[in-house]
Order: sequence, then C-alpha cells, then structure tokens
Amino acid sequence: MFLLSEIEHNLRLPPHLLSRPLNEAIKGELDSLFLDKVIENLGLCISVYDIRSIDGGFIAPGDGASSYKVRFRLVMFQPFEGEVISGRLKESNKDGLRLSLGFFDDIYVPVPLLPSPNHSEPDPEQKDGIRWIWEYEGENYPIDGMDEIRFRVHKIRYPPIPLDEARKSDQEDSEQKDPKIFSTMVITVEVLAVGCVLQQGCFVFLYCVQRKVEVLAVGCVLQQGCFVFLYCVQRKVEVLAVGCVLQQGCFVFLYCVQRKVEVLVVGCVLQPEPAGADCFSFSENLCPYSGYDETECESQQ
Amino acid sequence: MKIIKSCVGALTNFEVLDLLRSRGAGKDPTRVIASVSPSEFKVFDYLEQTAACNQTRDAITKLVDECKKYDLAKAEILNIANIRPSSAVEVFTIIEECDARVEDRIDELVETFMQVLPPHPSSQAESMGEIAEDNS
Repeated sequence: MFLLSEIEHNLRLPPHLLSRPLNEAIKGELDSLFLDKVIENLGLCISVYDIRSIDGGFIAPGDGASSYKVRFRLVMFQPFEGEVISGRLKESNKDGLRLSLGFFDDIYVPVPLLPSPNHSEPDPEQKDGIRWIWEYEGENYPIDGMDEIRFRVHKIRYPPIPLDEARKSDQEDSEQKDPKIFSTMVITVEVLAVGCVLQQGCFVFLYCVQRKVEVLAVGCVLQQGCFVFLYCVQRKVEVLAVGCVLQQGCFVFLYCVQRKVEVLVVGCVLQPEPAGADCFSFSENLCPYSGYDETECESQQ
Repeated sequence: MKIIKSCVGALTNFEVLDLLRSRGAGKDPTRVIASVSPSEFKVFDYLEQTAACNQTRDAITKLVDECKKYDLAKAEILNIANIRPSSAVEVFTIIEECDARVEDRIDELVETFMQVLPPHPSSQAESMGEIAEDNS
C-alpha cells in the first residue's frame, strides 16, 4: 500500500523563514508543498520520510528568498494492482459504490465489479440515494454504512486536475508552483468481502472469490450465551462450532463434520495462572467415535 | 521537481505506523503538539484499525523467513503482513494460482500466519471460534 520515493526539487525558501534552523524550515516548506497531494504515477503523498541533501542557498538578484536544491524521500500511498485492502462505505449511487479509507476517498466500485447477483433499491434513509443488496442463497444482505468492505485493487488512474482549477491556483499563488505535477488519483476495485451486522447480534462475513460467493463465517449469538459459528466451504454449510456457555464458566464446543455433530472439546475455566495465562481443562470423552477419556490442563496462548 | 527514483522500496503498514508513532502520533490526545499534520493523523487512525496496530519488527522478519519455504512473491508477503489472513478463503485471494502452488499446505500456511502475526485486539472476542478452528 505504501512505498518510498526519492524526489529532487528546487525549493524556494521565503525570507520570513530565514531565522529558523534550515532543516526545520525546509521540512515545513516541503510539508506544505507535497503533503496530502497526488503526484502522477507516484501516488498520494503521506509524509516526508527524510531529507537526503540540501544544496545551494543562492539568492537570485531581485528576489529576497533563497533557493535550495533539496533531495528527499516521501512516503507515498500507491496500492499495486491486485492488492487487498479493507475500507468503509462512503456513498452508493446508481453507478456503484464509493469507498473510503479515511485519508483517501476516491475508491470506486463500478456496478460490474460488485458481488453478483445483486440488485439495487432506493435508499429509505437518504433521499435520491441507491442502496445495493447482495443476494446470496436466498438471503438479502444490504451493503450499507456500518460495513467493512474488503476489496482488491483493479486499476489506478491519474486524471489531471481540471484546467480552470489549475489556472486559478496559478493566479492566487505568488510562488512559481507547477500545477502539472499534481493530479488526482482514482482507484477502481472489486469487492471481496462484506462484513455486516444483522439483527440480534448476528454477523455474517461473506466472501467472493472470482465472483463465486462463499460465506466465510456466520456467527450468531443465541440466547443465554450460546453462539454458533457456521462455515461454508464451496456452498455446503457446515457448522464449525457451536459454543454454549454452561453455568459457572464451563463451555462446550461442538463440531460438525459432514453434518454429523461431534463434541470437540469441553472446556472449563479454572483459576488464572500467576503468569497471566488462563488455565483450561479439556476433556475429549464425549466423542462417540474415539471412545477415550482424557483430561488435560493447557495454558491458552 | 524531478523524480530520482519512483520506488526505493515498499513499506508495510507496520513500518508507516511505526514512523508516525516515532513522531509522536499515538501519544498526543490533543493532536496539536506533535509534529504530525492532520492528514497524517488520518492515516494513523486508519492504520490503527488494521492488523498492523500491534505488530512488531520481529514478527515481520519472522514472517518473511517462514514464507521463504513456500516460495511466495514479495507482493504476496506484503499483502499477508498487512491483512493477517485467518482462514483459507482469505489466502485464496492473496496468493495467485493457490491451487497449483500450495493446495495441500494451505492449513499449514494459515497456522503459520496466525502464530507469527499477533491478532487484532477486536478480533480476540472471536477467538473462541478460533480455538475451535485450530483444533479442527
């Protein structure tokens, strides 16, 4: 997601900064010039990593400012094609979704790259908004605001800043800034997984591998502290574990192999060790297929 | 402005987080005193939510060593360090042609990742489910 780039720039240091130590003044100028701006084919500049060399310091005739030739390294945000990242939904409309990472918002999911099959409906909460719904195995999972979406980067483009904006910035700035170095960055992605919270404490993680949807895990909290984790491998749902908190800190994990339920482990929370690791006792006596009784004490990592 | 070298090296999420922390991003609740700008704080907030927030340099070097056995590309190792896949399905998207290269060792791989990289604090609530998965 991030990479380091080395840049050389002729920096003009305004005279009011001459009283400050050189390093600080130059770093401040570089920050204001490059931070949070997109450089074409390099990405979004996050931070100045370090300053390698400062040369020059000449004052041109007729100008009060000194100019330095500075070599420095920048931390750039530039995901590579095929990288997997997670982000949040920012808005959704008829062309698809727009996702946000907090510091970067121009991530678009066009309709063909949404998990399919899907359909859209007008958003009940927002006027003129569209909400996308993913249909999977008869269930409808709406993609809305509280979901964390995992996506794979498809393409990155650097369309230039529109010309009239560049002209405006030329007139306002007294410094000679070249508007062509900066551009915008647009990332197109495909959705891989959507996590969403259903009602009553259930949650679903869905996963889409090359457009075939697999449910990664469905957990739901039943009453009285029981919970179920279901797992779907190639569309066959298997119960992965059913846990049930019995009284006084005992719990049972059941495991389902090909629809036959076996008790995997019965655990019991004993008092904690002084080192801070909890001590668990496991007995595997309830499995009808192995038929042996064994109690062990292990510390949990 | 002249670009000397457009990619000196790739950085994992952990390294960028470490850089921001070394400038004082994590310790300043007012967000004014540290020499970190507001846009850098946004990056810091994002990275704190990912799996990188409690990784260490040792964990990353250990991960690189472990992955040498499986012949993974550098970009794949980077993805793994950033995401910390906890199941086989997640590994399928990261490693290209997974079936051909690592089909039967996929569980081993997932185990290795879960052991070497520390889990995200919020996913420890789901760790009860992970115990069941590990024992399977």
